[in-house]
Amino acid sequence: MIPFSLQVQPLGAPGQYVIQVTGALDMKTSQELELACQPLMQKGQGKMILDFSRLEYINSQGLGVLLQLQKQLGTRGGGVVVAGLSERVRGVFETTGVHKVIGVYATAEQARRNDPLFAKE
Amino acid sequence: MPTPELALVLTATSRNLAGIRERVRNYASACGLPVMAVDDVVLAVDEAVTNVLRHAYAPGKPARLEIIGTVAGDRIVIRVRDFGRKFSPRPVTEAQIQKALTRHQSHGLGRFLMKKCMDSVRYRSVPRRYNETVMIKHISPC
Repeated sequence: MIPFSLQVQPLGAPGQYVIQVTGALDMKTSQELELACQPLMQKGQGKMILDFSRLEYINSQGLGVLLQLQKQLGTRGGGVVVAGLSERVRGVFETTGVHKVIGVYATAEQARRNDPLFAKE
Repeated sequence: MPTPELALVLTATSRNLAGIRERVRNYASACGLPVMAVDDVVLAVDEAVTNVLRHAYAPGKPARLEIIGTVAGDRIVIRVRDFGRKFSPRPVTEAQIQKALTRHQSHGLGRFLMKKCMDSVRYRSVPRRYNETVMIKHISPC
């Protein structure tokens, strides 16, 4: 069981970030993720890649935070995508259908290069 | 070989979720479930406990939670029991979930996951005693 932690890295353009999430996203830690994202959402349009390559576990509360972020950021041209899902985490996305409404990429770098959210304006 | 049993009595707080998942994982593994099925049981119990934390008790008040696991024939039975307010989660359909997701809403996702992860999920309330979520999964070989 890896302890929960968050690491935020700016992507270069204003309001664009990669957030590495380590450990598990459950009722407790999802609130921590939501709190960490709030100040970032004030800057620019708010475009985020959540790097889940070190995420071991996610439940409905974690998915709920992603959907909430997507909803809030989407209204002003921003959004959220996820990258590096383990088989188990991917399974939760696919079981619920969340992968149909939030972009999923193999790596954070692939998300940055290929998602329309991060296309040069 | 004696059938493994699980009996956890805990304070209902989100700080205990990680420990609960670990205990349930160990128990489900000891019952002989394949790895994927163990993951399913862990997720379903986590969702059931999360429901209790959200709906049965007022935030910040000390509250009791019990998790009981037994094996009956070829089935593992997990009961998540609380002593708070009665709540009656309604069944949720795939169509309802897909509709919610198009609006980026997560309402019902936890109940939907429980249903997908287990073979049976049932809620019941024993007045003035407890409420419980009873979840069953068949133990099939790897």
